Amino acid sequence: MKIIFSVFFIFFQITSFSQDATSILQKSEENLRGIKSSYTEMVITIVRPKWEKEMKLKGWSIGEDLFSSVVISPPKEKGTVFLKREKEVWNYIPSIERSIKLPPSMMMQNWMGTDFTNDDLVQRSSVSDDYNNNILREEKIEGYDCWVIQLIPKEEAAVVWGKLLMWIDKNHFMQLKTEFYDEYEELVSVMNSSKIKDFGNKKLPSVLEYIPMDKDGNKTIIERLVWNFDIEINQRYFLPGNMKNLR
Amino acid sequence: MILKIAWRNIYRNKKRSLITITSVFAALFLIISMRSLQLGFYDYIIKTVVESYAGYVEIHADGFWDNQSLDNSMNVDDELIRQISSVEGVENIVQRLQTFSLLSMGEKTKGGIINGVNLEEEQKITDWSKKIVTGSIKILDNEIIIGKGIAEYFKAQLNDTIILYGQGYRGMMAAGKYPVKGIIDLNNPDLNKLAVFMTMNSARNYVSSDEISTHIIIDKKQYYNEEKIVDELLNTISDNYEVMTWKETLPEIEQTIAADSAGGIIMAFILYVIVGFGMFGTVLMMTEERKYEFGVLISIGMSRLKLFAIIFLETVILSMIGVFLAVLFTYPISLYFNINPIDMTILMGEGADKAIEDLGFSPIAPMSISPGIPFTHAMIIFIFSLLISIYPAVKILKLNPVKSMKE
Repeated sequence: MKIIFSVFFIFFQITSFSQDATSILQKSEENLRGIKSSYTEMVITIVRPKWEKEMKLKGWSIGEDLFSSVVISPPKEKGTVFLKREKEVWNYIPSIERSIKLPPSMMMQNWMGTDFTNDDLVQRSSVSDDYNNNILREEKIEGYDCWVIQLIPKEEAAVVWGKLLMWIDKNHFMQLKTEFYDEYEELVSVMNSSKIKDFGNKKLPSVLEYIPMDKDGNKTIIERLVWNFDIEINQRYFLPGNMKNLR
Repeated sequence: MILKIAWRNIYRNKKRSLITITSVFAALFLIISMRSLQLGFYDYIIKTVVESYAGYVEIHADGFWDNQSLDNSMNVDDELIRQISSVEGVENIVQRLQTFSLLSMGEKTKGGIINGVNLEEEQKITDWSKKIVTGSIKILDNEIIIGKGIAEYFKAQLNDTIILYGQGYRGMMAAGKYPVKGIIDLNNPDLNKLAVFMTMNSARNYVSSDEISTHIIIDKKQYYNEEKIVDELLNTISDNYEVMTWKETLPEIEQTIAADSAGGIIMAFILYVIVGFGMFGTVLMMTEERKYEFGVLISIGMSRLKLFAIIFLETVILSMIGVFLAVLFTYPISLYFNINPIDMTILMGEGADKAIEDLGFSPIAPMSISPGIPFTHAMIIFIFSLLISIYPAVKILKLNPVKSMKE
């Protein structure tokens, strides 16, 4: 009886542990997914071996499907708009007064010269739905206790990665670091989050750093200066015909 | 004395001499005309493509050729220009800023090469105003000249606006609207479909950088060897730059010429074999015919060496008359077609112009009047006559006068 009980207990322990990883991921996703609408001001820095470029942008979003951003500086690119409506990406360039709907062939191209692709902006896969997960170990990053969770995509999931490693902190369920691996288990890119700040009622990392591994010295840094949540946002911010009026 | 005898011998048997001269003349006439046409065509290709646009020698920032991005551009300072000018054989230097972009007008879009040029400087290398189809060569900032092919594609006319959209310098976006102020024919269908020209200022503004250039184009003094310039440039300027000749930047032209030229050389070789055996046949016949005569001459005390000299002179004189006539006849023809180039469409029938244009060349072929062609082939014929005269020489040395007279 005692033996049976202890076996059951061990079994229970294991399942609860695995349950844990899923619920951690869900909580972490809710952190961002729960947002109804947002307004942000950010500085994007593109780092290349020989030079750096800084851009200032404003952005609005409603849910996950509507997102638009407008460039504030440098002056030459001021007024350039990126608009995401569900799976469509639109682009408005003030110097030629044209709006362009990006064709699928351009989705894998760089977004505004950063290391992100246009596709990165549009695609959304849910880490808790599309991946099998398990907790590998616990680690400390920047003074935060983190779980290290390994994510292996499910067979039917439309995911390009072979494996993800995610560092999620224990207190606020923030994703502090993600490593992206390809199907040969080779590290493709790393995303680091740091400088945790209070944005209204939420505690979130303000700096996001994306480092592609295959390009030496390349890096993109996004720093959020302002990030307001659940505010009233006019739908007009997300109309392709209205892009030229954004500022 | 020997020359006189040789000449009399030629004059004595007019029919035989005429046959030899005619065979040399006919073959050489064909060879020279064919090579003039070919080499003239090559010269024309090189002239139109290289001289008018690409330049004999180009300098870029090191690594630009393999990765033609603006991030591999260079800042050209006075020191560098001074160094380049100091190299012997350099006639003119121009800077260009070249970048790829999308061109769009109305519903249509195509790719193109944007060229920032300094037209006053470029004018020193070739006369641009001659190439303008419509409009003017004098453009202001933020105005463009487009290739003929682009104008046809967009059905663009003067003062139409074309939108350019591409990648600028260091992550900047390049975009702008430009009115068309000129349409240019670069005599090269490929370039006509791609090239857009604007002032250096506008191009730099377009890519958001004040001082960069991508190309330094060097115009050499005429007939100066470009390889020599390259060698000296490599010694003069620093390792941060790469130096290339048109043979490297436009390998397809070099290769097309090499392949086509090889065909011409094979044709020439076949004709030479025919001429060679024609000449040899006459000499052989003559030697056999005149065995009796040789026997008599030797037996009355003529030295075999002198006898050979006469025969040798005869062969040389005969072939040289043929050569002289061939040069005399081909020169006016070459000259005429040099001034009035042959239009390949007439020569090769309908559709030929399209085929040649697809290769990237204009279907126009002026003949070459370079003195090198007749000279080379006259030399070859001369060497032939030298080789052929070995036969009578051997015969004469071995000749037994008594025996030959008995026969």
